[in-house]
Amino acid sequence: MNPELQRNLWLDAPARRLIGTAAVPALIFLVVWLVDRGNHPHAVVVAGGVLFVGAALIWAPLRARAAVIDEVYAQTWDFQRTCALAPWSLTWGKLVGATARPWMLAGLSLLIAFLQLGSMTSFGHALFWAMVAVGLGVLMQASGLAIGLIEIRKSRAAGRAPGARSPGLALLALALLAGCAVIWAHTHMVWSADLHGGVLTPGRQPLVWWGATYDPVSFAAVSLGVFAVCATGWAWRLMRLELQLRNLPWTWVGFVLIAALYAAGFDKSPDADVGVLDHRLALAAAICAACAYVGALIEPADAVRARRFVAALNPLEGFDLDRLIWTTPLVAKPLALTVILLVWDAMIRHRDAGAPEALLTLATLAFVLRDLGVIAALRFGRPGRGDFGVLMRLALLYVLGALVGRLFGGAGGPALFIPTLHPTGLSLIAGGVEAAMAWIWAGWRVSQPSRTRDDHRLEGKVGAA
Amino acid sequence: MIDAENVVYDYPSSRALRGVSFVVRAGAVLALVGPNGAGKSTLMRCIAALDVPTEGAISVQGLDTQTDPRAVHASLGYLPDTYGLYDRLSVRQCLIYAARSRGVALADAPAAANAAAARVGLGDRMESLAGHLSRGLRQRLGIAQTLVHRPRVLLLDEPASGLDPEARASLSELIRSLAGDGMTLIVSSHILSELEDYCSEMLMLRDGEVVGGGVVRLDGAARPDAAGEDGDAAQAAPVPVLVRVAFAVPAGELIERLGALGLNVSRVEGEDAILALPPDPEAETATLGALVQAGLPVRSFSVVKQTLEETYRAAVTGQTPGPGAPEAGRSATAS
Repeated sequence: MNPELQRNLWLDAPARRLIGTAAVPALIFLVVWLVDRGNHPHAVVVAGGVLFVGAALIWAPLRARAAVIDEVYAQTWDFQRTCALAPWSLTWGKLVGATARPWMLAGLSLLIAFLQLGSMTSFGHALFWAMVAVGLGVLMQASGLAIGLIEIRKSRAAGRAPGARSPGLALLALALLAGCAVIWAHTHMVWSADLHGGVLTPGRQPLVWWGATYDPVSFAAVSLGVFAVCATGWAWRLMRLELQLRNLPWTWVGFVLIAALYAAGFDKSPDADVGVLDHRLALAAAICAACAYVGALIEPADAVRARRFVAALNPLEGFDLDRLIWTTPLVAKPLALTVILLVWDAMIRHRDAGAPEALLTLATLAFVLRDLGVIAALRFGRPGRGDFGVLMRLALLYVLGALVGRLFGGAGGPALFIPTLHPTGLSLIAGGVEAAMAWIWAGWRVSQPSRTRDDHRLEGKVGAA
Repeated sequence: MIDAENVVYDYPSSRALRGVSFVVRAGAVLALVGPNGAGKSTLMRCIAALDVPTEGAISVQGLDTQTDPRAVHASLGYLPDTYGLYDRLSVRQCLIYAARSRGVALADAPAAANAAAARVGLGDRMESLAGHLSRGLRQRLGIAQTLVHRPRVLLLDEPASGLDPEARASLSELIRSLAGDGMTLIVSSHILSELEDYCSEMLMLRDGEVVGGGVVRLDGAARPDAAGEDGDAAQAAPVPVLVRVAFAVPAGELIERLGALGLNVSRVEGEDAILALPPDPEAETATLGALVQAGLPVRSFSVVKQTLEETYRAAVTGQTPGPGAPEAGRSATAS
């Protein structure tokens, strides 16, 4: 048996606790049956679904995150990092072992819901939804482990212990809810598929992806499976980094490219007033930009590494390609792709829609650059600054900027703080200037000897004294 | 066994290691000493391939910590100063997990766990929960976990921190026993008296730099491979050996007579003279012969054991250290 799995089972899932966990769904289904008496066949399916969501989508990701965060708290993480286990063994040992009890609960709930749904509709149909549920669970659980590893790396760079709360998991849950809402809305409004009593009726308008037609829900389910595999791979790569192994830098670029191609594949609506290439470029650029934002937020704010990267770029210090490859920040590659795609898109728009549209595209690029500069400046300024805090400041910059611009600059004022079409070109100039200022600010922050959270706390105490 | 070359380590706010170079030979027990904040733990973590130096290279048993970190992890045992244990596991479970996670085969893991437990004196507590052990026993369990896979190199960062005198004595005995088996150990501490009993060599760090010229042999002999900061072995400052010579009768003009023999007299205390000799056993033999030949009534001739603190101060300041107790087993009496 995988030693990491065995240790987790020893600690978290001895037989007595597993039996106790299994008793929970049994009791709940018993109560549901006693109350409903079989009057509503869907009651068991709904109860199973709710239990599954609680166990597999909330409890299991928290346990997966705790599988590494608790090691740091218990000061056993360095002991684990020097073990001889392969990164994959450590990854799956934690994923399976630390979540044994949540999955015991989720599995039993899913099994009963599956049997009930199968008896109501068909077992093929029930199996489809069970697979979707398992894919969703794996996605969340692997992401929980990955987020825990990211928090460890970030907190180490900040010279502090990881926090008890996990904003990363909260953001992931929000993203998942948003994704579900989008799929639900599209299923009902655009593709006109109907879901009643677990039975999906085909929509009037199927999904078209790279010119081929697919059933929307099946497509979403397959996508979910791919995302779950990606999330597991993500956790494995982060585990490799923790074990001091180097990850091939091209894998991240490959992932971003594939994600961009995936997004670009969704064909535009027939009544949309944009060209096909324009539409695909915009979608691909949006995904690349999103990856750049994620990269800017999840990578440790390691000033030493950033300085080495800058030094490797400096021809006066001798251009060092090897160091450049290994020290390039995560944000750089998707940002470069975003620049290429948006400049290309601007050229297409200039040809098809005129200069103002092209300038708006370039203004969007300028504001993306500004945002990334602001994120870098904020994160390198004070190690350990929370992601929520950084995102809130960025959101305030847009909202307050637009309000202040409107107040003092009239109708054209907001163009100084958000990319707008009118007045033509103003957003591009403003965004460019703000991006330059933000990156000068970030560069200054990186060059300064940064202090850990303890230094800041000490300074506060001295000041208070 | 362990070779560090020009190791630099930067924290965002400061430089923790500044071009540290040294060599630790196989079988040595190296005391890594220096004040708090000198960079000892950082250096330990770099040797254990847990942190990557900003510049320079470290190899352990010929394995580069940057290009082959996992092989380095497998080849050594590392006990950090803030070591932790799985409190809800028994000693047996802790050791079996440690053995299995360090590559010991499933069939061999129980035997390896028993052997490691016996080695640290925990053989009779295999079913106790780790969380129920005293601090001293927890420390022993921590060490047992690091040596359960029988590594050739052991890194112990401040192992005696927080231990009572009895537990410290027991730890010293354990480390001497491990050294006796040919294991190479690096033990760090800022309390020099802790390391006195078992270390054969010393490396001094201050503000991230090696002081005292490199690795110092605690028997006074300069290490031929002890490289200074600039990597030049010749730069390593040999620490002189102090010899206490007791004469049978008071000699008023002792200093002049000893000086006439070309000996370096550190000082005279009554009938005893403290001589500073080159770190070479042949110099001791030659000096004793010269004293007898010159007709001086030598009653005893013994190498003075220097405390680690004296050696440390001597190496840092470049001054001759003061005498302590005579070293057992290295004294000679003129007949």
